[in-house]
Amino acid sequence: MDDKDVILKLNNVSKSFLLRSGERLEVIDDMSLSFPLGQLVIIKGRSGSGKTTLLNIMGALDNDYSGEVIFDGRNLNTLKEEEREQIRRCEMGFVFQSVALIPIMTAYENVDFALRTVGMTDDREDKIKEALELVGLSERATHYPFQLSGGEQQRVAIARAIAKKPKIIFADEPTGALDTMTGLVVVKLFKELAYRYGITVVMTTHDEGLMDMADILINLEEINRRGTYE
Amino acid sequence: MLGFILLKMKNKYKLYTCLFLGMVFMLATFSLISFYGNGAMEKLINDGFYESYEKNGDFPAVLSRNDIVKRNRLEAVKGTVKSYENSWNKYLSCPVLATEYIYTLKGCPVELSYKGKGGYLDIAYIEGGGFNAVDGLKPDELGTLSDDFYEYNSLGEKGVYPCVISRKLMDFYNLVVGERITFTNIKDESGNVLTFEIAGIVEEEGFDDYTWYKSLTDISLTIYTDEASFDEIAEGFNFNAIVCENYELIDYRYINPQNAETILDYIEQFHERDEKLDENISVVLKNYMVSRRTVKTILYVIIIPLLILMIIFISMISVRIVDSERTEIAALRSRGLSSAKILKMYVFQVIFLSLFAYIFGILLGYGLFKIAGRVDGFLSISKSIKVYDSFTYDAFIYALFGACLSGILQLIPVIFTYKDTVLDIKHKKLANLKKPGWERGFADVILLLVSSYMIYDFNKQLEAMRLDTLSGKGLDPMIFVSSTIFMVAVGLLFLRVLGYTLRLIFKLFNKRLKTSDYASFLQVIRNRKKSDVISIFMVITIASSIFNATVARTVNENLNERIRYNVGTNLVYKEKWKVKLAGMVPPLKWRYDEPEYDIYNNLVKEGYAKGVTKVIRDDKATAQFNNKKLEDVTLLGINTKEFGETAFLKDGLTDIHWFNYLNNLAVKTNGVIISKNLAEYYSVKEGDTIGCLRYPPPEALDKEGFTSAYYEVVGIVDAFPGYKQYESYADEDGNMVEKESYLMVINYANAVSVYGITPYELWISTDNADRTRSYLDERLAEQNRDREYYINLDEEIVSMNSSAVIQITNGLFTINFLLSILLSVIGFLIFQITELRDRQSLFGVYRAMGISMREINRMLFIEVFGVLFSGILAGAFSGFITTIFYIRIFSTVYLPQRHNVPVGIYTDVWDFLRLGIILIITFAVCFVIIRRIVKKLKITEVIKLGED
Repeated sequence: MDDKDVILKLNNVSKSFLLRSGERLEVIDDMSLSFPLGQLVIIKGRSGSGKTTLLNIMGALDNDYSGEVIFDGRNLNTLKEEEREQIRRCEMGFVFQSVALIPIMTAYENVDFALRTVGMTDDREDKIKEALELVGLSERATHYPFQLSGGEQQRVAIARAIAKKPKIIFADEPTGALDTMTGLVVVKLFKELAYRYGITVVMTTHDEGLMDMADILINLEEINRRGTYE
Repeated sequence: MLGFILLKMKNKYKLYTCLFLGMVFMLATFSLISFYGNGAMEKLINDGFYESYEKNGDFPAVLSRNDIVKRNRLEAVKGTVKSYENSWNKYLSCPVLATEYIYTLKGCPVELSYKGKGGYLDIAYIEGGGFNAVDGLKPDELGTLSDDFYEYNSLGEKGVYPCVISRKLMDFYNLVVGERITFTNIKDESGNVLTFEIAGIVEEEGFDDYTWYKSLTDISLTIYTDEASFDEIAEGFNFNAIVCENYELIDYRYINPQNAETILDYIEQFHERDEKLDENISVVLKNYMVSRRTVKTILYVIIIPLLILMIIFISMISVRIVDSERTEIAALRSRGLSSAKILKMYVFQVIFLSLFAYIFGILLGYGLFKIAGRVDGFLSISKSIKVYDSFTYDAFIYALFGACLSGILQLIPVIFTYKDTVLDIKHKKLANLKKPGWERGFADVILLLVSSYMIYDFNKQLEAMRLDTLSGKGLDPMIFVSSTIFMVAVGLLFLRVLGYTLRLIFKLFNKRLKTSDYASFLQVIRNRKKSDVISIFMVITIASSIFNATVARTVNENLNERIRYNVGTNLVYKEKWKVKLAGMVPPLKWRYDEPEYDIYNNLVKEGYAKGVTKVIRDDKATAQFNNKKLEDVTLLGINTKEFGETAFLKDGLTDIHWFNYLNNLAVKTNGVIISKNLAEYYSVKEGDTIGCLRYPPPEALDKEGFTSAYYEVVGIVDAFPGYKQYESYADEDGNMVEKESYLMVINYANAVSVYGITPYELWISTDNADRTRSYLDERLAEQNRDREYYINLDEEIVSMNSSAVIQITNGLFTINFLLSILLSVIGFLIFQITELRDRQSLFGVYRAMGISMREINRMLFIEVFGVLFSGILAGAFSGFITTIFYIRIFSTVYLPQRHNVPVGIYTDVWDFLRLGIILIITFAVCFVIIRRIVKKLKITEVIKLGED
């Protein structure tokens, strides 16, 4: 794979946790991965396989690891916290299992908030409308999160993540709290984002029914055995 | 169940600690009502007896009878007297400290063996004794009838009875030991005339030597003989009646709030059945009954706003606890626990907490009572204030009531939520975003209209309220209730306007707001329903603190000003003058000998005073104009220059500076400054001539004599140092009566030349009146001279501050201020910290979205500051507005007596600074704590990336 097509690359990344007993638990062991542009990547693995830990590292949320994480040509490990914040703010998007919409803001305002964080002043309204339209919730713009269903909330969270046109979106178990049909809708949305906007979407799941939709499927348990995936 | 409850509490120890504190404070406040109320009532009673002693100079709890018993045997008469005394003692149940009996046989004019014809004399037998120096009882010494009172130096011949006489009688009739007194009109059956021989003279040590309750100085024209002689004379000389005076002094310390009303009732019944009864107890108790109403009203109305704060506090914390335990409740229900069992668990929790809160609450209540009892001014504590620290067991009942109330408050949120389904929770979340109920219901407007009408109504009735308070009808509690309503209404209205303003600002500028400001604005505007509780809490606390501080300062300072005016200088000192009498038959010639003045002259030289001046003061002078007399005018004779240097008068009380009037008087020897009411009474003006009559001393027994002089009016004043224009006192029925007095001020030299040397006061300007007074007492004692009285301005102020009504007001305002500040600090901190905990995941999301710590700090600052600032602003605005509208009304009820010094509004900027400093520290501490919490957040843990 050509480097210019790769948005995110992991080189020999390892992460372990110190347990109370004094033992060290190796969660990620010498892992090397590459993520191309504009692809839906699904990382699968059973509970405790390290999916979330991997996402934390890739999303510049966790800086305590060994190895390299190169995002768009920059080694995250060597950047200052402010620079990582800047990357998360402008170039990355996050969708959480627990949705995490701001409860006192409407759907419109949640998306607006995300655009404000990147300092956007012009055309914000257009971008908000575009994002909400993309997720099919234009008519629910003035509704608060708890006036929406679980799936609708998740779609607002996606709209919030994509409104600023990030280069990559990390979604950790985004369908975990949704029914199968709704989960499918969400993943289809991710695929469309990947194809239409060239955004790389990295999502984790243990839902076997969604695996076929991935452009790239990474089985974390296998990688941990083999050490490398290309 | 206990294990589960303890685990719950351990996990949320901050919330439960605050809840426990709130409960302890509430129970402490309820028990304080009992302790302080009882202590204040005891103080009222004791102060009443003390003031009675100070005013009248007599022991303040005396029952007496003066009766003519138609018997001629002492034993029979004693039996009659004893029966009345037994009845008194049985019902009043107070220890008897001393008794005095004076049995008198009515005499006649006598012949004296050395001097010839004498005046009228009675024959008496006196019995009984007093006691010495009982701690804490006034007066602190009553002497005993000495054993040798009837020890005669010589015994007369048969048929001649021995007697002793007082020094006063000896001087009066020029009698000597050995002289015989013959009662020419009193004969026995054999025709023998009753004759006594003076066997001894009883000399009392000083003028006010209370050898007995009624001293020999009080009894004139009487000779005393022993019991056996008296009995023999009564029977043998055909007396058919014996006059009996008996006095019983009871220990008034046994009269307390619990039995005062009963004792008064019994005394009134004694009066109904016995016309001859006299006593000085009922007037004290009637005054107590009147003041009691006032004190009780003050107690409740000052405490009630504090209780409301505590109710809000406990409710707020309880709601927070229940909110945070919804998950646990749902989990318990999902495991099969019924709603009834969940409720039962919370009831058990309430009882468990209440048991500990009960013990700590009563102890704290007693501690607060001790503190409040030592308050001698707003936020000022003194060790010297006497604390009536009786532990009343009613406090346990009051605290129990408080425990029940706090229990109900804790269970209310449980009752409303323990059956909630997920859907109910969702609806409640939506409800939280709506405007607060009071705003939707316009409660602020309604309350403002109601309280405004009350202000209008009170202002119309100010004079009637003043008279009601003066006559002891007690304070109208609605005054206090309406001020609290007004305060809350203004505060809420301010919050409403502030809310509109914030929304307007947001609407206009939201597009340009920074990320953190945008989020903060929305948080403040849309979280109103939750944050309003703490805002209203802050409003009530700050507004009531400002208002209470202003009322307390105004009342205290006005009272201080009045006392300063009444006293007129730092120390007024009057020596006891002896009047020399001459003549046998009234009216007697009299003359005062002026005591040596050197002692006073040296005061300035020795450094005990800055200035000294003589002031003749006669409150029984009579004014005269066009043959129209006006009695009981206060006449002052002053040396104008010295008086101006020694006395003080507040600026603005006279039309021109009072020194101008002194100057006018100085240049006119026979000039007089008169009070405005006197000028109006006689319709006189400056330049007119007005007369002044002064009367001989009472000892001269001259009811008709007077000396008069005429003076030219050189000044008409509204006020003058030491001139109390209005005096109020309780009449026999206990009704308050207001009396107006009049003033005439003349030159000292003129007063002496016209009226002769008469006793004067020394007005002394000094930095340490107590030191000066002690020095004078010592100098006088060295020369066997006595002080008649003194007035120390500092002592008067302390005495006023420790009077029951003022002390309880200051004490309660102080406790109110301290507790409400403490509650609001704790409430604010816990609100912000728990709010933050509820939003932890949100801050994790913010961080995940790339919002920097600096921006998050800014967000926190605006939110915390916004809630605090809106509360402070609304509270301060409300406090000051309430002060403006209510201070006159409160002054009328606290200062009902009319006075030359008009009521002014006083504030102490330090009260507000203290409040401000506490709030700033609260904000700083709160901000530091929540900033640290947010900083320690691990983003990955908080947003729970991954499987849940």
